[in-house]
Amino acid sequence: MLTLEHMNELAGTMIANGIASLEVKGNDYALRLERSPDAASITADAPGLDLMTALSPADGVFHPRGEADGLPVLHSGAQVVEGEPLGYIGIGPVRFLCVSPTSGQVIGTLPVKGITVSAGDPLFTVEPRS
Amino acid sequence: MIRVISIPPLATVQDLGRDGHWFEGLGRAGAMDPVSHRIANILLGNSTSAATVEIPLTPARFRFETTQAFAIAGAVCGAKLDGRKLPRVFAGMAKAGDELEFGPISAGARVYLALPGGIDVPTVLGSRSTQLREAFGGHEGRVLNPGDLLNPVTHSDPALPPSGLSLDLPEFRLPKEGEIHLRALPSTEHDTFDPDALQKFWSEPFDVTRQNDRQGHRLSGPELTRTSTGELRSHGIVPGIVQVPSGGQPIIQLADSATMGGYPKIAAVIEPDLWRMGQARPGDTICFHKVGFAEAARATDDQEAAFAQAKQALANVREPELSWA
Repeated sequence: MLTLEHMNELAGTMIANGIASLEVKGNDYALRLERSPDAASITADAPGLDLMTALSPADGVFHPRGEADGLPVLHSGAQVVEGEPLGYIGIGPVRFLCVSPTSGQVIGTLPVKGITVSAGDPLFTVEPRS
Repeated sequence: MIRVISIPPLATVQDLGRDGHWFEGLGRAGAMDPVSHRIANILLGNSTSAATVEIPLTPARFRFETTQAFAIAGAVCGAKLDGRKLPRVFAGMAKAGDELEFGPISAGARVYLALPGGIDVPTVLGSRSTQLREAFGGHEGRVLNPGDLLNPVTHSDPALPPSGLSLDLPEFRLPKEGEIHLRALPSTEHDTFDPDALQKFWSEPFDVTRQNDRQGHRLSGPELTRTSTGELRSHGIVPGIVQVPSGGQPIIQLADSATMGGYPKIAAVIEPDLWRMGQARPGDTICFHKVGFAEAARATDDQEAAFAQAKQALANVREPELSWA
């Protein structure tokens, strides 16, 4: 079953990849998402300029925030401020913070816990607050 | 250098305590949660016995007067640096003028703040801890007040990545849902309690009451009665001793424990578990688990091994990343 959270993530993925329309079908449903012409043209004219990416600070294993760090669990759609931790790259017990490059809204699909990443890999997409 | 802008009552400078003066009637003092104290120090490459600021309750606010490294560990309190959220365990750089805020505590009871080399206060009788009852040690022998300035021992900052570092040590995570498990040894008067009382003590939960401070926590739970009656002579006690006054409700002695007491002693919480009491809050539930000397010694070794591994892991990631500095 699709939830609002899933749809939010799909919308974020569309924005992040400059996709104008997307159709998702299941056994008993079909969902069509379309970006407004205004928003689509912004992406087409200046791809990626509106969005900023939080990069992995190190080689290691991704750990989401909100497990034992006292921070709230991060969801796509969350509002964050510049410098806020979005997740961690772990090397043993050491955690490198992956922080938001700007204040705004986290969009798109979030990294999966336990994946191995390299320094500089894009992990989160943040749409700056206008 | 940091300036205290606002601070709750009873925030003090502490290290691992002042041992060696028990026979003179002087207690140990020291960090109530030595684990968080040590983690904050390890993150900065400090000696684990360097002094930190212990902040019970919150909110509190500090301003960095100079650009410098710092570390925090302990309770969950919505810590923020210049408005940016920080994880519960964190080391990073602050710019001159940045403010470090600790909001309301939502888990745990104390936060520790470390600076490079430790907090620069004089060593008195072998320790930098504040001896609150005797009013010496720490920062001028007293609790911290707004306006106080705290200096680091060294002005050389450790190598830290730009976005900061954290540590996740599962064995030192805060207990979930306020359920605290403490391993304890039977103490001197253990066998003078009713068999029924002993069965309850080792199997039923006790609640932390509001009567708690750095000296000890009073618990409430099943009434613990003794088979023998009468007063005992006063005898030596140490942090971790669980006494049972005539009301039948236990008291755990903690960092500012008295050196002598006359209540019967039912058990002694082992040293490696005492940090959990330093993060206990009224309403938390405590369960005692009986262990022997061998297990208590093993627990101490395990804890030291965990700290050694954490230090090594930090050294391993620092080595190839000297460019952080």
